[in-house]
Amino acid sequence: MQNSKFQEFETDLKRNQKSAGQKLSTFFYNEETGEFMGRTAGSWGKILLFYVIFYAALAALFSVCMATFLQHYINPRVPRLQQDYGVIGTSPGLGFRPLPEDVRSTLIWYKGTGYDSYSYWEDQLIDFLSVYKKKGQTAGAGQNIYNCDFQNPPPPGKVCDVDIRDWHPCTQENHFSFHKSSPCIFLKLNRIFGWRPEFYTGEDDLPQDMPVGLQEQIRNITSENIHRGNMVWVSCQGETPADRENIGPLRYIPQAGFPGYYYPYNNAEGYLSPLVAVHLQRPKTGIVINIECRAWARNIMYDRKERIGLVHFEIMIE
Amino acid sequence: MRSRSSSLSSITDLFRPSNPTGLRSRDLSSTRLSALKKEIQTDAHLIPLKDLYTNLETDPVSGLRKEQAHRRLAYDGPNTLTPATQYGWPLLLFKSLCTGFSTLIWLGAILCLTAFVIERATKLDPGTDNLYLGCVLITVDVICGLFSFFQNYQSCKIMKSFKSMIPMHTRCTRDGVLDTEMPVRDLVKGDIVEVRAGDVIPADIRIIDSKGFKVDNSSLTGESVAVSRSNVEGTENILDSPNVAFFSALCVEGYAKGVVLCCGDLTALGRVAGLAARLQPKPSPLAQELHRFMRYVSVWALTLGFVVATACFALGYPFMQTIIFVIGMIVANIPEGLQPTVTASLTLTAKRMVSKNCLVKNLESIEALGACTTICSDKTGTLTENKMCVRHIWMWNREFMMATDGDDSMYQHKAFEHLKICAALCSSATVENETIRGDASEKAILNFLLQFNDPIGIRGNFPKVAEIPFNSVNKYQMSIHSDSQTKYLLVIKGAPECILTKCSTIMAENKEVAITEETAAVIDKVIENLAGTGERILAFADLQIDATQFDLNLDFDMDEANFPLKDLRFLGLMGLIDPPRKEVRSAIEHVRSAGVRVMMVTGDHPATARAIASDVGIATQRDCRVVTGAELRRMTPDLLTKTLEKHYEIVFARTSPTQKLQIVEACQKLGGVVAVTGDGVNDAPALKCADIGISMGITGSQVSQHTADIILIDDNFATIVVGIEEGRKIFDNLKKSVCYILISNVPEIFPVFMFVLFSIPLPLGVMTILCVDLGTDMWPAVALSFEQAESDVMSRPPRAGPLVSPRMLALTYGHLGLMEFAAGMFAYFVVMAEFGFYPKDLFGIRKQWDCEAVNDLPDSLGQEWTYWERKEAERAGQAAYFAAVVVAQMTNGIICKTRYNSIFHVGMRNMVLNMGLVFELLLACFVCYTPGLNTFLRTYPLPLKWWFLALPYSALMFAFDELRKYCIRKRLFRAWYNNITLY
Repeated sequence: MQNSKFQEFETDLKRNQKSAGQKLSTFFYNEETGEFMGRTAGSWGKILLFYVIFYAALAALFSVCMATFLQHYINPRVPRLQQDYGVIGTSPGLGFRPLPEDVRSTLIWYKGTGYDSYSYWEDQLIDFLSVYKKKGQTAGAGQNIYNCDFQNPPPPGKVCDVDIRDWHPCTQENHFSFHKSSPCIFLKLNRIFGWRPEFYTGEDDLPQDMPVGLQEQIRNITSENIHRGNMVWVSCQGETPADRENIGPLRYIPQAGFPGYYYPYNNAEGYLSPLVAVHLQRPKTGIVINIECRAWARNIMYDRKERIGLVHFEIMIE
Repeated sequence: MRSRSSSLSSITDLFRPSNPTGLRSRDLSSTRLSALKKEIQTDAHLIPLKDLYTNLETDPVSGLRKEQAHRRLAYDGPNTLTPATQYGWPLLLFKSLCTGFSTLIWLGAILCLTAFVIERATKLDPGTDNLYLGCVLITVDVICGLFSFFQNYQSCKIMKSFKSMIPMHTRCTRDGVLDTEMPVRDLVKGDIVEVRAGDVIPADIRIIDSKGFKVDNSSLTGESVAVSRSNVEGTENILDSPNVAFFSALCVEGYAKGVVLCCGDLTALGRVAGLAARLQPKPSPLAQELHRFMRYVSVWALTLGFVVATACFALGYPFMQTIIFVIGMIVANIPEGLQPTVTASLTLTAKRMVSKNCLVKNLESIEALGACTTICSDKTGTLTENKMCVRHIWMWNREFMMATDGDDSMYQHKAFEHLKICAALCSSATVENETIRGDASEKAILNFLLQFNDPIGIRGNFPKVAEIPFNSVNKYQMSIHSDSQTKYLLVIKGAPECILTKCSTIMAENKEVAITEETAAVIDKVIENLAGTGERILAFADLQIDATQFDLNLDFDMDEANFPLKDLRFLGLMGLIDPPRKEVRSAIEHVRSAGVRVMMVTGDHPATARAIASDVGIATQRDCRVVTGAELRRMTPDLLTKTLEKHYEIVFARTSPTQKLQIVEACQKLGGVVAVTGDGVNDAPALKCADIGISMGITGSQVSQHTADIILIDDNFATIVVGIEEGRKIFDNLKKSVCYILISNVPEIFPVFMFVLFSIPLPLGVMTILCVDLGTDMWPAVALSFEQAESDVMSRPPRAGPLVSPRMLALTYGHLGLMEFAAGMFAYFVVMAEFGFYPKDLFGIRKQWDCEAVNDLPDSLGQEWTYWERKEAERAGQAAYFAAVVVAQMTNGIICKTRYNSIFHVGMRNMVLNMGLVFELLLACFVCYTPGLNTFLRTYPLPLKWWFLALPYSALMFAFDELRKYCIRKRLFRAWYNNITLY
């Protein structure tokens, strides 16, 4: 009885079933229909053509938007959003040179005696200072240079000179004093378009946390010439009491600050950031010294965590 | 014979309380399940009683010996139903925390925390970003997990409701002593028990001795018909066997003494209960769809993550950076908003269904109803009212249809008066406190008579003198009443063929006529016709016995029959039927036009089943296949499948609970999504196994309601049609939601590629990605489920395509997503340029940009930026990108409203979506402008003008999509475009 019942389905049972492998190979190339990956060549062509046109149109719209914006709204020499209107703010940070090879590191590390060991740092500095030496060769720099003075700020379009030739011992000829285990580190203040420092003027308004040495120096200088006090002052010291001991005496060349006449920065041709060379005269060797340098002006904020108004680096001389 | 008893002993072993077979608990449970799925194989009801006593070592008079009973109790366990092993809530919680995307999110969170720990161990002042992100991811995961946990935490109450059907005490004889207060749980195999009217049978028993014993097996068969059980020869199928009474059946009449064949889980009901409790229903179609989608997305996300990680290592990126890329990839790819969207749209639909008197217990089942391809419907109580009523009356030469409430000619028919009296006297149903008690057919007759006059009054006028109750041999019931006119009235009711042979005259319009051969032929024809409609036919006849012939004081001797029982006067026929519910026919019509196959699976007789099937429109063709339970038992599973494939209209009759289950499983094996409607305990396994179990709220038994996914509170079958429509709408709208969610994936993934390949600062951060996925995208995605149903939703076949088709991917990833990405990049470049970083200088800057040590990074204008300053710029750029994505997603919300029609045609009438779009913008503003929150989420208070940067792209997207839909509607380019992007 069961068999007779099955017979009515006999025809249905014979179905051509394919194995998974066959299905896959048919998917890649179906001989019957000439389909490749489920589509014929013509079909693939159409799709390709469609997407080419579609993406070309999309890219065109993007380019048109971008070009319109860049040409009509962007001035190649002046940022649209300046200082507080943007995010750069009004409180510049500091930068130091020479920089280590690995951008993530801030450690200046060399063996005190061997040339091979400090040549990298020396080359870095030579490279960095080259623009300061060959002013005539940089575009527009030569003719734009103006002899600035505290009473004599540069007129618009002109830039002040930074003379680094007689910064002994921090000179190229002296290997920036690296070979004597008393290296020179160059500091510069970050450029912010249009930013003007507000100087500490009187004796009374010097901040409490300013190093006593610097305070004295400022008093001496300002008592000599009130205009020479228009400086963004710089001070460096060890981060921890131990570091402060290890760091030894420091010397700032040419002086402990950036003269005020370099500001504001207006992206003029040939502008050079003023520099301060910090000479570590007798740093302790064989130990990492954490150094923090601060810039001092009334509108330079200080925040160690967000690194506002300071720069941090380490030195290790073996 | 041997193999049978050995299989019986093995199944007995399987259900012993102390797991004896040494199987692991999981193996044991699956072995038990497969044992339960088989039909009961036993010969205990076939062998002579004497052999049975020997097998069971019992004695019909004195019962078991006490110590033996105790031994058996200790060995086999008590006569109760063991609940299936249930997972504790911790496991359930763990499962809901680790399903779907959760695992991936956990992976992301662990990566974040690892990154944080590494950073903390290696750096002096570690950033807390990774910690925050890890915590946010964990929070997201836990919330989603708890969400689905509470959804899953429907504790199984099935066993409890089975337990309520078990009686507490019974009468049992042991050691020759009758214990009337024997606890039912102490019964063992071989015990001799006594059952009386009103009792619930305490175990499966074989009848030894009985008197007028009738049981209602509705808990097993679903048919509430009282059937007689006595000590007669058994039939092969134990469920039909007239010498066995089953556990939990109600004894309606009479008395019986029986020997216990099996107890507890091994009883017929125990098996049904065990099956219903142990069956693990397949995941719902929606869950399957989502699962598949999640699997693809997970593989895709992990592949991308892996590719990016490999590329990073090859390019020499540090480990930490790589981890962040991988996290970004994972977070961007996972549609975190999908699960809440699905749950929300299901919950909302379920709420709407409650107002239509449809309780959705299992949320996903409402969507499954939309996908449903086959409905297996029980007959009694589901398609019909489970209430017998008189539908046809035939009196000489006239047939009256009662459903249409008759015409006056019936009242004028002379025979009707006599029929009424006869029926009133014959019906054994009684009225107690306004409720009618008795057998279903008797109740139907009394109900029918109550429409016309007072049958109770008639009974008072004709006191009963003697009666022969119904029995299955005679197939009639007769009583003699004394008439006030000093006469006796003999009334008889029974199967038409045996009544007809006793009649010589028939009551015609006004006079009595003799039954000739022609008249007999006419009556036979009528009976045949009525039987064809599935009605139960009762014939009525009476006879006036003259008092002169019989003394009034004469004792009628029923056994001797000292009275005439021939030459009766035939009065008429009544056709009784359990009528189909009114709304069922049109509902089934609707369901079938929606491409859903409707089958009937019932425990009732084939003829009745067939008749009701054609009545309600399940069987419309003559060749509708009727498969009986006996036939089904002989079928191989293969043959059943073939039969299901070959015949579109099938009626299964006389099926047992396990067979119902087999049918459902066979349909599912054919790839169908099966809905089962049922109301009885016998439907419970099928309800549980089906993709959608639908039970009735009024007639449904407690067990079926506990098992079901959906309960029709007012028993209205038509609600199923609404359910199908809602289910299909959910799926359609879910597609729109998924499309909407997927579009925003592209602008989330590509920034990481830009970051890796072109080394630009990261255009979109991980936190901002989460803001889009779990914040701004949420409401619009949910609101898309409020879209109106498309007009053709009920005229097309059940869905075949997956939730996320290649076409949808082509549209989201290939078209709209890229436009959104372009919008985001444009906004990002513009903002960066305004700060001073022109696009050409951004390329390749990444290494210095992301390095905290670089304190003086020059921009295009020579300004020098400290780390924190440029991170602020990056934040602003990312926020602008975010704003562009939000604006573009608002456009997408409008685009996704319709898959086919123009938006100008559809309009913006979905207020929830409109509000959602406004909310999206407000939330984006909130995220950007709230102090504190914007630092935490790495957004930035953007100036107003930057919000408009994405507008050209929004316009392009909108225009493009309208054009696309236009092409699709007009089937331009030979419908080429339809095949690519119509999802």
